[in-house]
Amino acid sequence: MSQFWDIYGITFEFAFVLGLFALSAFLGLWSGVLSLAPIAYASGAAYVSARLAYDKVMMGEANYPLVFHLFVGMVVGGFLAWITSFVLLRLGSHYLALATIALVLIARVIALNLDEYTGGTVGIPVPRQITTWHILLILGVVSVMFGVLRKSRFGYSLDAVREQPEVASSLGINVQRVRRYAFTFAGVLGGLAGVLQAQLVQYLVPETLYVELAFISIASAVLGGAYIWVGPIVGALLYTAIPEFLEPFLGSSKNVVNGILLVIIMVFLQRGLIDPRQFRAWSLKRKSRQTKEVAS
Amino acid sequence: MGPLLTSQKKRNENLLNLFIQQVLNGLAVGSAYGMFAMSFGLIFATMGILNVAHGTIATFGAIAALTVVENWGFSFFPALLIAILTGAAIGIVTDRLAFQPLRARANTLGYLITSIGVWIVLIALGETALDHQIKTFPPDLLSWPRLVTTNIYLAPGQIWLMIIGPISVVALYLVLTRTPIGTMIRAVGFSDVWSRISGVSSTVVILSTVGISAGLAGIVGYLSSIAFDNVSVPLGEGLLLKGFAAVVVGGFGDVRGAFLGGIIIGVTEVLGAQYVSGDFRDVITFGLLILFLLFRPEGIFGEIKFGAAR
Amino acid sequence: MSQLDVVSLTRQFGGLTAVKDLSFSVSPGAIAGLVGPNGAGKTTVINMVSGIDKPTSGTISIAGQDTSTIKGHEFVRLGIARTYQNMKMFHGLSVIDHVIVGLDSRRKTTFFHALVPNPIERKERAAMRDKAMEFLKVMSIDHLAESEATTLPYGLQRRLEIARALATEPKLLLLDEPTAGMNQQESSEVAEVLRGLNQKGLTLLVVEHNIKFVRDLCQEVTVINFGEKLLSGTPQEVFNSQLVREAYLGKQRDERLATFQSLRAGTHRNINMGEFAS
Ligand SMILES: Nc1ncnc2c1ncn2[C@@H]1O[C@H](COP(=O)(O)OP(=O)(O)OP(=O)(O)O)[C@@H](O)[C@H]1O
Ligand SMILES: [Mg+2]
Repeated sequence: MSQFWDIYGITFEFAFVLGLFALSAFLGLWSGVLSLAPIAYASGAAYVSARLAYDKVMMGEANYPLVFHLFVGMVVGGFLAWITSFVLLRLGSHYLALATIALVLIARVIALNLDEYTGGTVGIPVPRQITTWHILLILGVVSVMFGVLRKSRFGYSLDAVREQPEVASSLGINVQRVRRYAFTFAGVLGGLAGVLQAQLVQYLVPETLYVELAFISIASAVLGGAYIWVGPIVGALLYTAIPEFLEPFLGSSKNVVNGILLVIIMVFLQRGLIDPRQFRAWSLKRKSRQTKEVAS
Repeated sequence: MGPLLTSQKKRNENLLNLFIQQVLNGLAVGSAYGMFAMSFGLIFATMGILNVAHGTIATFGAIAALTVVENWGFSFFPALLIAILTGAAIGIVTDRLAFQPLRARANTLGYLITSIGVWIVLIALGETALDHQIKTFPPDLLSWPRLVTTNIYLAPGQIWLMIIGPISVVALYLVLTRTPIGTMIRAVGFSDVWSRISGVSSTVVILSTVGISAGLAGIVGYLSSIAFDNVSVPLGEGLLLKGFAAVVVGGFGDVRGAFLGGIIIGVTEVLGAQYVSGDFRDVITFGLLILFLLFRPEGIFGEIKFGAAR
Repeated sequence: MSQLDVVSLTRQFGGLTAVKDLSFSVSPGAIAGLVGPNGAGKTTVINMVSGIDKPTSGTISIAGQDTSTIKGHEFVRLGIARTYQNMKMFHGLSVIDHVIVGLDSRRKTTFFHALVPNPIERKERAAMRDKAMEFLKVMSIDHLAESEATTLPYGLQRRLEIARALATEPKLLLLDEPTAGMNQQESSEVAEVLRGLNQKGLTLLVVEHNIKFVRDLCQEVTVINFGEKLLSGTPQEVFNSQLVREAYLGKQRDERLATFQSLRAGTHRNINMGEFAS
């Protein structure tokens, strides 16, 4: 077991953090918005946190505690998302997707050009404070949040806004507001995950949090199922695990499988692997069977 | 007084030459962006597919051309043909395998996610084909036409971009507006039910659209890999990003707009890098992109037809 | 004061005038009908009155209040609710969940209650389920509470839509073809339910093609054609009028054309984000 962990521990850590990114992508999809922006916010958050740590260490002092860094990540991510949401959410659906891709690209350019703070192309080292258990704990807490969210007033609003924004509005739901909250919350999650990712890599360059990660987090959410929070996490695990296990056979083209998988899912299983509808169908069947048994 | 005046004059002349050189560089780069924007925009405007794999298709055009040049000694024009055919073939295959099954139900978002899948596959294959390297065409592939004066230099690759770019706009525009198949392509863009009513097979139309668009991407990939002396996966990704910016600036609705958008992005980028700051080159491009998305999402030239009716 | 006052309402889509200088009003407690051939502009009127579309010109007042500066999601507060001609269901949600969404405007919890488990949220959640159940009972679909809404037969979905609208506790309910696709039996059942709601004080504005349904149910009817008002009056007056007969007879000739046009208008290309994978 411990040998297994020695080999695959780091893979799992990346998978869990990817799970957080996928959840932030899922929040967007849940409000009917395809947004890659959380990665841009993650980048901003990671740089701020990394810089704070770097300055401390350079001055020969002890680094801030982990909790502080996580907090900074969430605040920076959330703040950036909130500010930008006012302009971005004015856009129609596909333009919004485009603008958020652009935002990720711009984030990199900014990071490259603010080299006084970010180290430019050279990057900036990030002292690692997290352990696997920290990551798991964070993922657990976030999952519980999503569980509560799902059946809360806000969760219902998100469902309605995603499926039929016009109907939601005529039922009194402020669609723009719901989207803004989801967008900001996704930014908070993105910031959090960004700090974690930077600590895992232990070195932050402008490409650490970039388009590839953005696409893969969307892909994980869709693969696992973007209709309930379990989906993105499962998707992230699969997305990390599958190429890893295929590495011996496929070598460096292992990623091909990820792409093919995504296409297959979109073609054959449009609602992803985990679909709450399916659960409902099962539980209804079971109930009707039970009532039949009682009757007979 | 005399020598000072001449050196002043000389300096002005140099500045002017530099400016001309950079405008020409901008036009060459802009032609590449513009052609890519047309091909990328055509698919989006007619079928609602925002294909993030499109840049990689361009890369494959370059890879295929490089292969035939290196292994079988193809010359410039035959290799160009190979680039076109490869682009078109990859476009058609991916369309049949990945996008066609979605056609009955998917919308822009579904297509976008699917294209991310295609993109991941193509990138991995491209990297494998190139062995994770940056390659270049042999320098003797293309030695003409070359523009060399004392102060201005244009490489053959750049010149071909500037020649084929405008030709392809005119050609594509004429095909779309003056030929029956063009009319049908636009009609499918307008509504595929329309094509069903009018009895035109939508498969033929879709395949022609994809073939034209992906073939054009192959051309762009090939020409720009010569002009920038770079055959690599990032080349296509760069085209995708800039071409995408160009499409936003120029508008989806019209190929002329998309091309002009590419020219604007290319020239602004090169001049911005020269006169403002080399580092902020991409900031200018993407700043322009965001400004347009926010204030004029339909592009300079107005109306996007796709998705307007609902 | 009328429940609804529409004055010189006009709506243009590009060059097409879908509604033109239309005025009518609905008195409190009435069951009013809005009829007209296909493409007459009925749905467009309902869209504007329910706040999901804005008029090009003209005014809409609800219970005396002018709505020109009111945002779409605030119409609920004026007591407006509606159903849709093409039943806009939330894919993937159960029947009861639809009604719970409808209860949104009556909930007190905020976004922050949704982040950590807490008793306030839990209590409200239970209360909303009970409340939602009551509305399902009104429409007699409470036995289907846990089914997935989009799998229900047409008629039941129409009932669910009414339940969802009722959940907002409206004073004026707008119904866009509530019996489309129903048989005689089903539609008279719906008529019965609507009459019951009306007796409890709910004002209704019904768009219908089913003449019998309108004749039986409505007290005042407005007829429009090509976006303009032909006439209004009691069902008897209206349906015996020569003008209305012509409008309807003329319809058949143009019907095929209209269908063709709606196909051409590209209404089939659904760019609703929610359905990318459904
Ligand atoms: N969003 C829109 N954009 C453009 N034209 C529209 C739009 N909505 C409606 N129209 C046009 O306005 C006219 C009136 O449409 P409307 O849907 O209001 O008719 P209707 O009376 O409800 O017809 P039906 O009985 O078929 O439901 C039609 O010609 C229609 O094509
Ligand atoms: Mg209608």
